[in-house]
Amino acid sequence: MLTLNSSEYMQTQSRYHKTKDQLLEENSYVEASKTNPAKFEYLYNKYHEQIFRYVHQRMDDKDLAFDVTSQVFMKALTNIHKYQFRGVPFASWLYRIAKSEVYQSFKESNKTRTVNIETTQVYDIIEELDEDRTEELREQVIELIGDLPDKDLQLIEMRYFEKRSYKEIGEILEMTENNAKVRAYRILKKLQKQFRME
Amino acid sequence: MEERKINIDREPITSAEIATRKDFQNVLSGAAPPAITGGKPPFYKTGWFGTTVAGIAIVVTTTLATVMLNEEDPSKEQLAITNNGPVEDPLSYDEDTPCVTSLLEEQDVKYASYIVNADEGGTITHTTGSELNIPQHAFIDVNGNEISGDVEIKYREFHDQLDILFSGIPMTYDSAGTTYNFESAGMMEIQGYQNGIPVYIKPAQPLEVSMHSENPSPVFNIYNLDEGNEKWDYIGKDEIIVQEPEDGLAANLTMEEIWKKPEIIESQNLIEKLADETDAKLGEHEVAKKSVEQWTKKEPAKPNKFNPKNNKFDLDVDPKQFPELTVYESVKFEVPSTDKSFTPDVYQINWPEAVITEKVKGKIYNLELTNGNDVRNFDVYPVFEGAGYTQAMQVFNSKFETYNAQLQKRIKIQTEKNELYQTKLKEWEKARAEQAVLVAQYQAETGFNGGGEDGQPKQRVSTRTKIARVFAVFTFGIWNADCTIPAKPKGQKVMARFVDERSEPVLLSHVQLIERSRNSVYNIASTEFDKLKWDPNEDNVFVGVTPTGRVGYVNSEYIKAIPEGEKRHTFKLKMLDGRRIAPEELRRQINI
Repeated sequence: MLTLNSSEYMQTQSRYHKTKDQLLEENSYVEASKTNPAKFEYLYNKYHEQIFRYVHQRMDDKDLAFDVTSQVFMKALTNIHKYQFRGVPFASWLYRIAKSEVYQSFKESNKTRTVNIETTQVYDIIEELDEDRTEELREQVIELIGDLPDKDLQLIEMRYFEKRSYKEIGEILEMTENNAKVRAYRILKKLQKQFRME
Repeated sequence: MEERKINIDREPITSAEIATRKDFQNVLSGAAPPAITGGKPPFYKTGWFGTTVAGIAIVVTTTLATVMLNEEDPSKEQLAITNNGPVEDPLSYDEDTPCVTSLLEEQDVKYASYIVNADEGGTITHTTGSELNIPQHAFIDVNGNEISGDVEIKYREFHDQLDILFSGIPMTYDSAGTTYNFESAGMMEIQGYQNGIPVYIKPAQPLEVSMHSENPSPVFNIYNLDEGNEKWDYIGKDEIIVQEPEDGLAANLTMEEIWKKPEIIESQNLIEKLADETDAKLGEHEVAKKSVEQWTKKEPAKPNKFNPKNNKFDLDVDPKQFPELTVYESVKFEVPSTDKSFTPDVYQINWPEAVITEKVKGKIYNLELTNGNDVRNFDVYPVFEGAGYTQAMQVFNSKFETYNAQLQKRIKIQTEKNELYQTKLKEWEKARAEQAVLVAQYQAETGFNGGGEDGQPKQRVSTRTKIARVFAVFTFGIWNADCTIPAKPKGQKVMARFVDERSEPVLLSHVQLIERSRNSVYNIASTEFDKLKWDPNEDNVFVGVTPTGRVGYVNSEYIKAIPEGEKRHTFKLKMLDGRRIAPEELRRQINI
């Protein structure tokens, strides 16, 4: 059976959320970058590691991940005049560019989408499902996660592997926080049904 | 299904390695020039760019120099706190500090006092249910002479992290040159006195202690604290007695069995039903929302009045291609006054080809004029003059009325759908919360504590199950059922300072780190504050006790909010008056 009790208290390790003042301060750099690209360095330094980790999570090749990360920032700087502040961190825009660049790189390099999983993260999911931690179940869950449709995989990756809050996931995937929550619930429920059938 | 590769436990990449691959200049030179510079040379070839880069270099150099100059020696930082007039008394260090010094007597576990006749022996039952079995003629004096008559037994137990913390009992253990920390499954102290003078246990007549414990795991060993040499001595294994409650109901339930309880199944069915209904309502709301969004795109454009000061074009537009314009008469296209690329010579040239394309329907169009290789592009917007403007406004007003009526209708539907969705969502969340309470009740009953390390389930212990650890006590002092854990947690690391709620410095000789999942306390000296570490995956609490008895702490939420990679952190401690607050209230506040 499934509950999401513990997840509601799961703390994100992300540095994504900001106060209103921090958002406004950040946006001042975005606006400055529109007329003076050198000002973009602040945003580059601030988000380089986060974006790299996001890209690398979905890739096998470290060097390619660094290249794609650079590409993300180049695209962002090229298109920064189109960016409109909507009261959410600038990072959500960067993540959307990163998502698109990752898929573009798969097409161009003929590489395979990679799912990077840590054992402890799988156990987090198993605990969320209130199942016993067994080696057999761990392997089943890994296999089932690997077979998830991409939109479901993304949500699971963000929630359980990258420890993002539902608010942040909602902003990156352009859905409401509640919608992200409901969807995560449904995906886990689906996983549970599948491994119970196996 | 696309092909995927799955990596398990891939080697992590450090922040330092990622930092080495940062190259902003590469990003700058690789980015296409921003649109605002269209038609101008690439920005990196402009004069300002060189100036800016030089400026950045100067700023970076200056910043680095400033950082380096400000790089404080941690000891200086601590010294600075003292010199700034700390709110607490300066610390004094006593070389003769005993091995066990209570951090705060008011919060230290109090001794229970029992009288036993040394000639007869007997069994003492402590308030926790622990039993002390004392054989006849078990005590001797300092000279080895047998004691006769009444002996006072002082006894206390330490069961949770705050019991351990305030006792001041060291929890580190050295084994073969490696230092570990202890996690405890129960610790006790026992002392014996006759007329206020210490007595001793006869070597051949050890006491048998059946100590209450909350952990039945066999991985714990018994240790005795050698206070003279300030070290723990390994004694051996204890005997673990687990006594299930007589009704045996909840104590034997596994998690799977809990989930088979009819009320839990019923609650799960309700949750799933509500999840389906929530999904459906969410879908309806999304459709209604999209309908509003789509409709707003159809908002008729308000006609603009021709500004004679601006440049304009008189163009014949294809009514099939631009039906939104042809309902009006005498439409002209005006070039925004802000468009500096427009030059009057445009009017002097014969343009055989003029193509107009829509950018924002009814509002902005792109006009491309071509004469051989000379191609000019301008943003233009439709304008009207004279009677044409009046007619256009009439058409607009009529169109807007129809548009707005439909928009309001759609907004109303969206609002209704959203309310239905929110209601359903609340029902779903309520059902989940109610189920959580039900499950928690069963879990509390069974003492279920989730999975352990290495994927092995931990043993479940009912709160009604009695666990006792039985071992022989051959000397008075402190006895502990322990297992070893790493000496220090790994993970996040900062250079730490501590202040109170008023941002006044708090002087601490040590802080204690509690990981809620372990019955253990890490004792961290001020000399280690420059590299204060914790495991971000644990539920941590830092607690510090000042020389004046104030207890400062930061909870798990606070610690989790410290950004990964932050180098320095000033911990804003929540302060409690440790000398006045009741132990129960202190636990409630710190959530132990």
